Formats: sequence, C-alpha cells, structure tokens
Amino acid sequence: MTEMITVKELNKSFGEVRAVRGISFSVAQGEIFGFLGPNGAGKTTTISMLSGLLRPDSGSITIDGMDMASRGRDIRRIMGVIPQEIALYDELSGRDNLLFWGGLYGLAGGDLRDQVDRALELVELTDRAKDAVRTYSGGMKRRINLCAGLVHSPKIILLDEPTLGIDPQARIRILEVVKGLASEGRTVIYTTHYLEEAEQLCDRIAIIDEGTVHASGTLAELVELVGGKVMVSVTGDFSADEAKQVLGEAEFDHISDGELRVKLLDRDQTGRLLGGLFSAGLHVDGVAIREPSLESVFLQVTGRELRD
Amino acid sequence: MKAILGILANDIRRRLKNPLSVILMLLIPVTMTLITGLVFGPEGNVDMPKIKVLLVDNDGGFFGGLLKQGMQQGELGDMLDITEVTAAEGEEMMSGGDASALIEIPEGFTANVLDGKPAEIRLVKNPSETFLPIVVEEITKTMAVLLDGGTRIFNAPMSKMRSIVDQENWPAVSDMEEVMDGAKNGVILTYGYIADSLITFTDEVAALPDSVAAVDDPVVKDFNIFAYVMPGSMMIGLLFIVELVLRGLLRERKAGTLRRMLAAPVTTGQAVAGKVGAAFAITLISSLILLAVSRLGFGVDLGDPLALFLQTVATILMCTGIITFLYGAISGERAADAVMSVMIIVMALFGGSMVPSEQMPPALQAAGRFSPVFWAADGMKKIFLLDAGVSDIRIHLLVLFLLGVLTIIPGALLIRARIAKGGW
Amino acid sequence: MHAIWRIASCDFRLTMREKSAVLWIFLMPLAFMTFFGLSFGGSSGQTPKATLTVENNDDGYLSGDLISLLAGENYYIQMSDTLPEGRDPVRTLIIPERFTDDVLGREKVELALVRDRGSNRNAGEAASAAVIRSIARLISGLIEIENGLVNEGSGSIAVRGDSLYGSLLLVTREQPGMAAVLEERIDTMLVRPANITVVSERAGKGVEIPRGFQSSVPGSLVMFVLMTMLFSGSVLTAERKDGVLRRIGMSPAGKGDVVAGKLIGRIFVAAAQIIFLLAVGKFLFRISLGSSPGGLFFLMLTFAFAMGSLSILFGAFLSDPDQVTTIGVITSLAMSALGGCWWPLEVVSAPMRMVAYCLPTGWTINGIHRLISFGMGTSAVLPHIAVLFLFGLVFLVLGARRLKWDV
Repeated sequence: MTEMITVKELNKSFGEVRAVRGISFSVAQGEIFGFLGPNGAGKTTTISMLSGLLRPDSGSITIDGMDMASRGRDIRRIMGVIPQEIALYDELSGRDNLLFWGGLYGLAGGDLRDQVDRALELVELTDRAKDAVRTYSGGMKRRINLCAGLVHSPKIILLDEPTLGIDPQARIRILEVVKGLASEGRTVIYTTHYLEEAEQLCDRIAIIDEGTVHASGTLAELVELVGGKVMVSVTGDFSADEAKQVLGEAEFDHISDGELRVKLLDRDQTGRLLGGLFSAGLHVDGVAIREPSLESVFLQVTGRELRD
Repeated sequence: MKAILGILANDIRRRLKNPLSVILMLLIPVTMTLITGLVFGPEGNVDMPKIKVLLVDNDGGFFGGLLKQGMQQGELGDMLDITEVTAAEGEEMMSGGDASALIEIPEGFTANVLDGKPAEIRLVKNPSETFLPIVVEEITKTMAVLLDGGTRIFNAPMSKMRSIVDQENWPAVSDMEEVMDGAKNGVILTYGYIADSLITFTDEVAALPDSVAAVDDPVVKDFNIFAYVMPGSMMIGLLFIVELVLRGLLRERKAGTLRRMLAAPVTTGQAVAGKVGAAFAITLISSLILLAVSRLGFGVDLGDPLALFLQTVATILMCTGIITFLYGAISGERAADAVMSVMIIVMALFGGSMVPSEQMPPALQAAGRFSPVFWAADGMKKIFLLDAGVSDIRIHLLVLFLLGVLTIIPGALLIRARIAKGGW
Repeated sequence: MHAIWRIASCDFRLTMREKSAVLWIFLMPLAFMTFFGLSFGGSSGQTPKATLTVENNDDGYLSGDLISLLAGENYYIQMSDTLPEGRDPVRTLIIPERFTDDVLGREKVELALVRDRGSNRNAGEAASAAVIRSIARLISGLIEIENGLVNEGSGSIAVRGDSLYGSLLLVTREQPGMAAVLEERIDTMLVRPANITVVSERAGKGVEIPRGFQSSVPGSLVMFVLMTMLFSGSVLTAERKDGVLRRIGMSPAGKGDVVAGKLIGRIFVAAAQIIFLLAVGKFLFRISLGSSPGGLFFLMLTFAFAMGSLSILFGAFLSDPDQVTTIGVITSLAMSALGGCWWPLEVVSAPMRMVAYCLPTGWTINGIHRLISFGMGTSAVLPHIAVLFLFGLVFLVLGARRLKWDV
C-alpha cells in the first residue's frame, strides 16, 4: 500500500510545556488511523501540525510525497480537517456554510454546487440545508461540521474528536460516513478518547499520552502487547510485601500497598488468586477483571485508565 | 427572599471576579469627561489663539483706516491678529485656508461714506471653520453699524466738508464755522452716551440660570467643566452597565445555568428579581466609583449629600427599570443586540449626554424632556454646579422614582412571563 | 486571491445580515447627523438662529423699537412672560423699568444680557454682538433726532456753549403732540437701510453649505465609519473563540489571505456605509460634496482601511469580543472627539490641534474640509491619503504579525 502520511520525530513545545515529544508514525492510503488518548494528550496539537496550522519545533511531516515545511499550501488543498468544535457560521444556512468552506479550497461555480449537494446527501442534511445552522440539533451540527471538511473531496481527512458529546444515533451515522470515506480510498486520521470508537473504526491505532506515542498497531497487535491476558485488579487492606509473599509466582503488572494488578492467562484463574489472598488472611475490598482489550492495553502502556 | 439574595450575591461575586467588562464601561464616561476637560480646560474657557484676519485696504482713505485702527485696539486687538495683504495675496491665502477671514475695504469707501452713498465691506470667511469666521463677521458688522451711525450723525458737517474740499478756493471762514457748529452739536450729543455711559450693557454668564430660580439661597461655585459634563456622560456608562448585567440572564439561559437554577427550589420570579436586584446593586457600586472619580480625579464638588444620595438612587432605579422593561419587551439575544445599545444612545442623545440640553434648539429641548436621561443628568448637574438641595430637584426625583417603579415591576413581570413560556 | 475574495464576501454578507449591525451602520449615523445638524443650526446658512428671551420691564415704545431691531438681527425673540412652563430661557436680555423715559431723558440705563451656563457659546457671542448693534442703531437714531431738534431751535432741547440742555423727554412733556411725532420719527429712522453694510462670502470654490449639517455630516460620517471598523474587530475575536479562524487556517488560505480577506470584507461594508451616508448628506441634508466626490470617497475609503487595520490589531491582541467592542467604543469616542468630529478644531488650543494631527480622524476631517469646504481637487488631499495609508499599514503589519489562529 502507498504510504500517504509519514511523520518523523515530531516535537512541539509551548513555553515550558512539551505538548508533543518525538512522535513518529505513518499512515497508508485508504487506512483509518486512530489517535487514542485522553484530553490534553497532544492529539489536537499533532492534528494542528499535520494541517499546517502549527509549525513543529523539529521533525518532519510528509504527505502524499510533499514536505509540509515547503509545500504546506498544496498539502492543505488535498486535506480536509474536521475540528473538534463546531467551527461554522451559526447565522448562515448549512448550504451557505458549505459553499463558503468549499470555496476556500478553490472550488467554484457548478462544480462547487454539485459537491455541496453531494456532501449534504452524504450526511443526510439535504432537507435542512437552507436553515441557519443555529437552528440545528447538536447531532446535526456535528454532521454539517463533518460535511464542511469533505466538500472538496479531500484525499486525506483529519477528524479531531468528531463525535464529541452527541447522541448514539448521530455517532453511528458519523462513523458510517468515515468508514465509507476510507472505502473510497481516502486516508483518515481519527482522534478520539472513546475506546470503543477506536476499536470499531480504526485499522490501526496509536496510543498517545503526555505527548508521546506509547504503542501503535492494529487492535490485534496491541492486544498482543498485553499478551492476550486477563488483567485482574485487586484493592484491599494489604501491603505490597504481603501480597508478593502470597502470590509470589504471579505476573504482576503493578503492585503497591492496597492495590495490585496481575495478568492471568484466563479469568478462571481469578478464583485461585483470590483464594490465596483470603487464606493468607489479607483483606480484599474490591476486584475488577478486564478481558484483553484496548482498555487494558491503554492501562498497561500508559499506566492509567482512559477517562473523559 | 433568601433565594433572591443568593442569586444577587452570586451575580455580584461573579462580577467582582471578572470586573473588566464593567470597568471598561466605566471608562466610557470617564474618557468623555476627561477629553472634554482636556480640550476646553477645567474652567470651560478655551485658551483660544488670536483669530487670524487678513485685511485688504483698497480704499487707503480715512474711514478704511478708522476701521483698521478700531480692530487693532483694546479688546479687539487682543482677539484679532490682523495682517494687511494685497488683494491677490489675500485670495490665495484664503483659498488655502490660512486665515479665519478676510476683510476687504473697497475702493472709494471713504468717498462713498462721506457722500452718504452705500458702501460695502466685503468679508470672506474660511469655510472649514464654523466659529471663528462668525466672530469676525459679528465684529465687522458691529463696526459697520457704529460707522454708519456716526456718519449719519455727522452727515451735515461731513457733506459741507466734502464740498469745501472739492472747491478749488480757500474755504470761507463762515463755511468752516458751519462745519464746526454742525460737528460740535453732534459731538456734544454723542458725548453723553460715550462719556457718561448713559446706556450700559452687561453681558454675563448667569451666576444662577433662571431655570433653577427655585433653588433657595444657591451657593454659586466656580465653574468646573467636569461637573458639567460628567452627569450626562455618566448616564451612558450606567445604562450600559445595567444592560450588561441583565444581558447575563440571556447568556445564562444559553449556558443552561438558568434552567439549572429553576430546577432548584427557586421560582422564576425569584430568579428574575435576583437578577434585577444584582443589576441595581452593580450599577450602584459603579455609580459610587464614578462619583469617587468625579470627586477625587476631577475635583467635582458633589454638593448636598442627601440630594446626591436620593438622586443617585433614583437614577439607578430608573436605569434598572428602563432596561428591565426593554428586556421584557424583546424576544432574545439577537433582538437585544439590535435594540438595546441603540435605545441607550438615543435616550442619551436626547437627554443631553452628548450635547448639553441648553444648547439644543427648542424643539429638541422639548423632546429631551421625554428622555429619562434628561431628568437624571439635569438633576445631577444641578447638585454638582448649583448645590441644589432635595427640594430643588424634587421634580427630578419624582420623575425618576416614578419611572423606575413604573418600569421595573412590569419589566420584571414580562421577563418572568417570557421565561415561563419557554421563549426568550 | 480566490480565498481572499471568498473570505471578504462572506464577511460582508454576515455583517449585512446582522440587524444590529445594519442599525449601527446606516440608521444611527443618520440619527446623529440629524440631531447634531439641528442642534448646531440646522439648514440655515447663517449664524445659528438662536432664541433670545427678552424680559421687558419697560412700558414705553423704545423697548419695542429695541426688540424689533433685535428681531431684525436673525433672532427668535421670546418674551419672558410668555415663556412656556418648564422651558428654561437660555439667554435673556433684561430691559429695565422706565427704559424709554430714561433713554429719552438721558438718564443712565443699564441693559443686561444674562447667559445660562453652558449655553451655546457661538450663539451667545453673536447675541451679545447683536444687542450691541441694536443699541448702537437706537442711540445713533436718537442722536440724529436730537441733533435735528437742536438745529431746528427747539426750546426743550438745545446746545448752549459746550453743554446740552433739555432732552427728548422734555420735548414730549412740554410740547403737546410731540410724543407721537417723535415716536413716528424714530420708527422711520430705524427702518432705514444701512449705508455701510457687510457682505459675506466663503473662500474657496465650495458651494454654500447649510451650516448645521455642514459640520454634522462629515463629523458623523467619520465617527461612524470609525465605529463600524473598530467594532468589526470583535468578529475576529469571536471567530477565534469559536474555532472558525482555526478552521480557515487549516484551509489552503494562508494568514495573509485571511488578514486581507477580513480587511477587504470590512472595507466593503465601509464603502456601502460611505456611499449611503454621502448620498443622504447630498440628497436629504442638501450639503455639497465638493467638486471632487470621487476624491472624497477615496479619502474616506483610505480612512476605512486605516481603521480596519486598527480593528485587526485589536482583534489580534484581545481575546474577548465584548472587550473589543467596549475598547472600540472608548477609542472611537476619544479619536472622534480629539480629531474634530464633535467640535470644530479651530476652537481648541494649539496643543490639542497638534494632537488632532497625530490621529487618523484629524487628517480625515481636515481632508474633508479641503474637499467640501474649499472645493479643492483630489490632489489637495493626496498627502492626507498617504498619511492615512501609512497609519493603516503600520496597524496592519502589527496586527498580522500578532494574529493567532487559536485562543
């Protein structure tokens, strides 16, 4: 497959804050590449650099064979960005908004109108196209926001948390549209902090936190990272030493006073684990079992859970 | 009551945490007052430069010289800076706007005056100036009238003199006596008016305008232009501040905090009352700041404390009432954007915030009485400048309190109804 | 270029859709022009026709003569006893008791003109001059009559040696029927046309302009174009807050395109405003636009460019749209007042006049005077246009450098 996006050793700081630290990845044509990470992980900064809005402190971005530093404007022409916020003119109609945004990408005349109609159909907003955006529901605004980035049929689409705060139906519709775009051979970068979205949608996922890519690959590859094992978390009134003594041979992911995480081959082994703790007279408050999933991968590679 | 006070206190707290918007609003009247004071001086007397006047004397005779001298002596000499130029120079300088006016004494002026024939002085005014050319015009017209009167009084001896001059022979003694007698009577008759000042004319700025003849035993203060300008411009700031605070209600509706408030055991009426109360309180604090700035920054004498207190409270009540009522009458934020600032500016304009009422033509002055701003600004001006007491501004207070009460209650009820209906 | 045009036309359309903007851009200036035009003399081409209140305590005919002379001096005469309830007299001439008898009897008489504080200074000075002239006319008329009677050898008024004996009052008392004769003579004398007159004209090639609107139209025009431009800075801030600016930044449009598009968009708005207000000035208020309306339009457009650039600077430095608006109001008030939109610059002190020339408003007002008041051609305002352009360029460069896509 043709490599569409290649990012090497990208760094960006804002004063003392290092927002992006040495990020590298590549995305092939027609691929949906997910950026999974909590808020403030550096996803939007990376998107801003990919879209030419921010200049990296160091590192390189090559898109469709063009270097961002020298051919930023050409790159932006083939790229559609769907920002996190509803960045539209509230007082204009959906259609007028699309005409404006399409026009900014160089479309004009009949071509522009055709593309706008096509995009409106894609997100099923043809009926409401003439209404002012401010009269739209939250989901409709998200859809037209998506649409505004697609009018010019970009080869590369950057979606920055496009499903933030909308109802499940609208989310499903958006995910369908994104899948459809990829099936047409467009390259998609999709940032999200919803695990299930990344799991359902992305061909490959990069887990990003504190400005660094901690792991990347297909879902299967990532799960392999946790060895396809079940993760059991136990909290209670015990010291790290006591627990180690009891569960000496177990594969610990984390252990501290009152908290431990152990990898097990399958969940049936949980009984034995807990039995050992009980019989040693250790007090257990709670137990959580996680099947091998993106969530457990995230937990393992970043050392923390992914929350909104 | 507790809920209302809670909402009120919360609003004040929020404003105190982020006071920039209110401070900027307060800067509007302060800037307006400061600039007016800077430009016109604290006593309101512009330190005007001499008025530049060009003089073209095509006559070269006695009366032309008399006019010239008259304009260069005494008070007129201090006011006018007269430069004698040729006609060509004068035209060129005037078309470049280099002087306020040009006075041209025509050829044969003296001869015409002596003959009692019409004589015209030509005055060319600088079209880009409004005030100074008029001053020159008024002075020239006055000089012309004086000269006209003088020549009429001395018409007989002057005609005789003229015929004597025209004769080729040496004048006869009897002719000269006739001239002298004729002139003597005129001089004696005129002398009474000039030397004995039979008719004196005083032009004074009222120590106390007749408009406030009602003020008992007024204390006349030194004129302070800040005290004159501040009351009017202050109103613009205060009305915008009430608007800003009440606008918060629309914003809270958008942000959802209003719904959340109403979901708590708080009635719509209480929420509205809390907001209106907050508008009143924040405007009160703002007006205290403005009064402090007036006193400490601009040296305004704040006058009778009781009158000042009542006038301030009445003014704020009126401001809160009017804006609350307007908010009750509009449908939402867009309408507010369109209507509120325009209404405020129009009220301020007619109420004398920008052009003092006294300077407006009668029709506009009469129209100004319908602007609530007039009653607020005029009352405050009387307190600042004339030390007016409560009884002197009782009509102002009555109008303001009545307006306040008559607008604040229906306004709040309208807003409540709008929120209850889910509109707005 | 395509992107610039898109951004400019979108901004123009957005502004024109906004009802509040339309009110401020077109209707408020109209209201200001009318209000200030009427306040400062309306459409009369002469000295403002002010009202003079007369408090007449005299019961003779000379006070009537004096009042009719004053009425001939372009004044509305309002008698104080018929002053409507609640109306304040602005300037009052007080004619004392026994005025006629005292003047005829050559007794001392004191007339007073009392001006209200803050009354229009312009009209006040003119009132004072008019009263002086009327008194001078009255006195010279009386002296002429006295002189006539002295020459006729009237026994009741005569010059003996260097002194005057008797008076007109004595004439009326001692010679029955003379009172009516004198009154008639005085009346006739006062209506005679003056021999020495002053004819006024205006310098330059400009046409006579109605006075009140002459200053109110250019002043309001400059002030409201300034406001339109400065307030538009808040749009930039709001778009940055909403993320729209960021999104534009991600399109092929560069920063230069955005700045140019935004600036051109608001210059379109200003152009519409200028054309509308100049048309209103010409057809509604009947003011002249001078001999080069094209130059006038171009001067105003350059002013709009300078102020539009300033708004970009504001928009680049401030993050809250409301702050931009309020700072816009304060800046517009200060620049309008100091630049000569509110009062004629000739009445301010020399240092304040210098201040005016440090401001784009001062240059613009001066340029308008050259074009409208003096009827000069466009070449006379080329320096003004150059200065305004420079102002704009400096603001624009500073603003564009500082402009950020994000909050």
